[in-house]
Formats: sequence, C-alpha cells, structure tokens
Amino acid sequence: MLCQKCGKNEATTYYEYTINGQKTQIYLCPQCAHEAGLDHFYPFGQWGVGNWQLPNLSNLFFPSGLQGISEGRPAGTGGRVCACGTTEEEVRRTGRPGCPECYNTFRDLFEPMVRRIHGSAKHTGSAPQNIEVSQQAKLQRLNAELGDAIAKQEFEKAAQLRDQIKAIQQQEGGEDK
Amino acid sequence: MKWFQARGQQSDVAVSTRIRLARNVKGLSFGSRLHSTQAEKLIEEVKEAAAKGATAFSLIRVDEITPEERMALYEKHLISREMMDKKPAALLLSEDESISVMINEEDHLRIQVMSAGIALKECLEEAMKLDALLQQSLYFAYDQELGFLTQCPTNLGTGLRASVMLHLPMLTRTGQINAVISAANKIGLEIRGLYGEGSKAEGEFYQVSNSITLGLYEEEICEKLKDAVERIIQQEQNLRQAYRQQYPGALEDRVWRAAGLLRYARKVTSAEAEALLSDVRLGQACGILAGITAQQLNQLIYEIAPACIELTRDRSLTADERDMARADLLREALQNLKEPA
Repeated sequence: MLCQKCGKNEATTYYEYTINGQKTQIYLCPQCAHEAGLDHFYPFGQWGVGNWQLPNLSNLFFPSGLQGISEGRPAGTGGRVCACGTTEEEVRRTGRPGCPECYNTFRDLFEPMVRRIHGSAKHTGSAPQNIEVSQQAKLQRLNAELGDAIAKQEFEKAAQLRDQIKAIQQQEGGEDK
Repeated sequence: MKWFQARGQQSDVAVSTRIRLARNVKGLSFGSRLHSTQAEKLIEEVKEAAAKGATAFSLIRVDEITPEERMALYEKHLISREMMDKKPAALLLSEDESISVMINEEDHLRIQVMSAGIALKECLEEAMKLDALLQQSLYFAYDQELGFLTQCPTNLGTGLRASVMLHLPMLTRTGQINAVISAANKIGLEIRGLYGEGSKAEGEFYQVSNSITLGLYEEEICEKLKDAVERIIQQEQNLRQAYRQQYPGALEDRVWRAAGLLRYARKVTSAEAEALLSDVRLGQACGILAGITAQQLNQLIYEIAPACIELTRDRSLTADERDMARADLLREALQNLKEPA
C-alpha cells in the first residue's frame, strides 16, 4: 500500500485516530511518519534516567503533520480534508464549512471571505464563559498532577503532563479554542 | 399573554423587535453531515440545559407536528423556512412565545427573543442570559479570531442578528423606501420583507436588520440598528404629517374605506387583508380611528396568515373557506372601531 501523504513510497506505519466518534485510519511511509511526528512513539527504550529526552507529545491525539490526510485519499488529489470529511474542493466550491473545525482546517480559505463579508476578521464580541473556566480548571489540575509526578519521580508521566499543559497554554495564546 | 399582545415602544411605526443568536456545539458537524442520532441527542441535551433556568419551556418536535402547525410556527416567525423540512428538529418555546430556541436549524441552536415595539437592549439581555445558561451545559464552537462558529460565514463572530419590524406605509407609497433601503445597505444594514431572509419587501411591513455580525460588540450592533431605525421612523412620521397637511381628509377617507371593507366583507384573501390592515393600522397610529389598539392590530397581522387561520378550525380548509374564515375573524376583531373621542 502506498503512503497516503506523499502517495509515492510504500507505507510502513499505521496510525488510527478517532474524533467525534469518527475513526480514521492512515498509512504512512517512514519519512512522512517522521514528518508527522509519529516516530516519537517508539523511542521509549532508548531512555536512560540520567540522559533522557522528552518526546514531543503536544500533538499526541492529532499530530499536526497529519492534517490534510484522510483515509483513502492520497494528498494531491483532493487537497486538504477536515476531520469531518469535508474536502478543500468542497469548501472552495460552496464557501461553507462542514463542521466548526473546518474554519480552522481551511482558515486561509475562510479568512479572506470573512473579511469581504464583515470588513474584519477579528471578533470583538462576547466569548463563551465555560471555555475559560474549564481550561483554567484543567490547567490547575494538570499542574497539581505534574508536581505529584515529579515528586514520585514518574518522569514519563511528568513529560506527558508537561506537554498537555503546554498545549493548553499555546491554545490560549492565540489559536482556536 | 403572548409577547405580541404587549404594548411596545414607538408602536405607531415599530411592530416588533427580534434578537437571534446562532450557536453551534463544538465537535458536532453541521447540517447534513450531522448524524441523526447525534441530532436527536442534541435535542435532549439542549432541552435539559434550558430546563436548569427560571423560564419554563415546552418542547415542540417540529418534525412530528402537522404541516399546518409547522406553517403556523413559521408565520409567527418562530421557525425559519429551512427548519420546516428538517428532521430531527425541535423548538423550545416559552409560554408567552417571546423566548425560543430552534434546535437543528441551519445552526445547531438559534436562540430567539421577541418583543413588541422597539426593545433591542432588553431582547439582547434576555438572549445573552439564555446563552449563558446553555453554556453551563453545552460547549459552543468558538474561535478567538472568528468568534462563535456558524454554518454560514455571514453569521460568524457574535452570531447575532438583531431586527426590528417596521410599518412604513407612507415611505412605501411615496417610493422613498428604495432610497432608505440603499442608504441602509451602505451602513451594513438590510431591509427585507415581512418574513425576512429570502422574502421580498412586499406590502408595507419591513424588517430592518444588521448584516455584519463580526468585529463589533453585541451592544454596538444593537445601538447602530436602533439609531438607524429611529431615523427611519422619524422619516415615516414626517411624511404622515406632511401628507395630512397637504391633502386634508384624504388619509381619513382611505383609512375608513379600509375599515369599512374589513368590517363588512365576507371573503378576504391574506394579501388583501394585509393591505387593508396596513391602512387601519396607519389610521390607528394617526388617531383617525379608535376602538382598537396597536397591539391588537399587531396580533391580527399574524392571525390572518393562511396556516394560522387553518388552525382556528378543526379540519383543513379550501382557499375559499379560508378567506371566509379570515373575514369572520377580521369582522369580529374590528367590530368596536369608532371615531376618536
């Protein structure tokens, strides 16, 4: 089977993720798997306590390098695909998203359109309250768990927690919430 | 008492105010991509979320009622045309019908608050209150740049559509309404017919609403609309006054002729009824006739619509029977018309 990202090399890595109950299976060649950050799943055996490196797990649940690849659709044929199944071609044709996440996946397509319609692409009105509250609560909880893990010298767990915290902080810093 | 029976501000020209907030649930697809089991679950979730507040709502399964009942909800502006063919779809409705939530419309949720006359600030507050309540149980899709994420990019940002329904007979008859419409378009407002989106501005009732939803605060959108609406109202009032001064007795004659027809006719189509009621409403606002209130006339405008007429009878009616039933309703409603004291 050919790699679903480059469509050229033989796929050796299998990756599966589930978003909103929708399961997606992806086959990648070693190079594309590396670019997608998926080879981080294998280095655990190399770790020594005195000289350990933290894997980058900030995209553990949806590696950013996988955006635009979807089951059975090699890149280059249909362009990017959102997790909901909406393709770049559909967005270009209809100007409509298939799910809220499409605005993020195809941000570059929607932004000029939004500017044309509203004369601005920067929201200034109210924001949902529960997002701040829940993210803040989540951060507090993760920080507490991190302290606990370090105290118990559970470094693998600590690394995972640190990356989760970083992901939330990055999200709050500007991207889509 | 229903909301449209209440007395509203500037009700001589302003019929009603409506605030709508479009909201979507994070993680769920839009429209046809949303699986029906998820859509069913959403109805339950929204119902439970709304039940935690002080306002009591009843849930109407829009996909399970008769086509006439559905049409009547549309005529009362409680559901959109798009919602009429949706399945599964539901409407949460407060007892006075002023607060409602369309579930599984174009957007997952559309919060709506309506009031008589001009009441933009009050309606916005009420809608935001319900929004906050629903947020305690539901996660709405939101992006820091694009605001609340909606199926149509024209609703992004605040998801807020504020509109005021105006009765503008003199601006219409003098043809000046066209200049008003193009001036409004230039400042990001839209003027449409009685049934909003997609409906032609026929008759003498119009909906003025914001077309820009992103880059402004909710309060700013309402303020801007209110300013524009007040200026339109002023123009209409000036014309009414000028016309009566220039042609003494002409408006009085027209108003009483319309009243006479409605009081004695035995068959009236909805278009004719709308036109005649427009005259009676103008007469009431100008103090030409008495014995009926602006609120009663507002209510009549909803009640004369075909499906609403149909619902007053237990069986389905032919077009002729409907026109007769409409005439009965109008005769009864206008029986107390009299000269002003």
